[in-house]
Amino acid sequence: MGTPETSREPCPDRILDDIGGAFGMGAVGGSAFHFLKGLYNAPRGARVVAASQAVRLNAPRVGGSFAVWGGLFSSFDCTMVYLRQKEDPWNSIFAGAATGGFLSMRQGLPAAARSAAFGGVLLALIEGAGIMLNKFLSAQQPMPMIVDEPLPPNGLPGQPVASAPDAASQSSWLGGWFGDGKKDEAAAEATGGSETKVLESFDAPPVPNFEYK
Amino acid sequence: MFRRILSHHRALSACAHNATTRSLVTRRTPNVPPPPTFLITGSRPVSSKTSQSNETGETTNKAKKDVANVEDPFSAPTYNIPEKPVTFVEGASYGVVILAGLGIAAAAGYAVFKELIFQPKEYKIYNKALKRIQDDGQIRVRIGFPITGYGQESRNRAARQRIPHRVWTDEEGVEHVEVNFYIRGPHGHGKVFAEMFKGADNEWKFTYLIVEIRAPSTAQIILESYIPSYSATK
Repeated sequence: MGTPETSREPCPDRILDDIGGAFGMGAVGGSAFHFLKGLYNAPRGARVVAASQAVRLNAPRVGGSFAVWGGLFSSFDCTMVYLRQKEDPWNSIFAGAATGGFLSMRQGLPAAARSAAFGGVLLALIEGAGIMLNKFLSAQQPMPMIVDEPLPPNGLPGQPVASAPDAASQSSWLGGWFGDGKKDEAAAEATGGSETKVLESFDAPPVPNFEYK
Repeated sequence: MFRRILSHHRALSACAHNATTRSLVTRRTPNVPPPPTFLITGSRPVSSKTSQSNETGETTNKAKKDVANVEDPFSAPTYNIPEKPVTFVEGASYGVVILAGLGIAAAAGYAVFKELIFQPKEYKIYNKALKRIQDDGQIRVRIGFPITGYGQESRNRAARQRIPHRVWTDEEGVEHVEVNFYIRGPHGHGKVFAEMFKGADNEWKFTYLIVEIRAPSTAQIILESYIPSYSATK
């Protein structure tokens, strides 16, 4: 489809974005590293000239290496997204292992297996650190959790009330649907009451309308 | 200039070292033959004349001193190095250090994989909800079959992989996990609101699973809705 909604899928275009981003990181980081290395190794009086020469010699090479790694990683990541049809940290871990193994393939299978294991462990540590950081940041806001705790008991009495008329009336379809609506309305009101206090990254479930299609 | 002068100094010092080693060698070589020759010559003058015997006695004393001086540097460093006990002790200590390092690495790996990757609740709920949605015919009819799920609408990989979630515990001590994520198919996309709780049999069950389809047409579908069992006697 040509609609802008379907073009929001990032995967084929993200590979090019990641190649450019990785080259930028490698070139800038390599420039800084080799500038300092040139300053350290050069004799006194010729430090700046030697450092700039080292940067001009080595920075493009480091940028190229980073671009190759980033492009391969992004390609494998998109492949995993397509195969698994979901996005979670396992995609990055498999992509890291595949990239390490692929880049060491010409050195023989034992070296490739070792590099793949190293890449997988490295990406697992990175993803683990990211999840830990996310938990730490979310744990720094205990107030909404404390405020949210009294509200669920308001929702719980709604459940027996919803189930009682269901059993009493015994109507087959409309009564059951109406009972579900009551429970969901109670739950929506409970969560709606705390809507202003919930984190911005979390949306309360909407009130369902009953347009059966 | 300074480099050349320094190199000259190094060459001079090397020549000096060579000279000292050569002088030591020349000093050592004549010390070995003299004792037997003096002893042989000493035996003959003793039988013939008394004055010659006195001179040979003095020379033998000097030879004994030289022999004692020569023997010390050869014997001392060779006999004072014990090898086997030190090697065994060092090997044992190195083995202990290696085992300790491996233990620490195993503990770190176990903590990382168990606590952070294998058991996040939001990913467990996310997987169950996504599987339920992918297997449902109502969603499949509307947005097509290969349905992809992701956490947030963004091009950033980390943002797409992170699932917005909230974990809370109700008054009966039951743990609830709410998640929000997006789904996308060949013909449309939507947003999913799901909540699960851990039941009495320690299994996760849906409280609700609402799919809000936004394209190609707006629709809301409730796939799961929990109704507790009711008994009039309680």
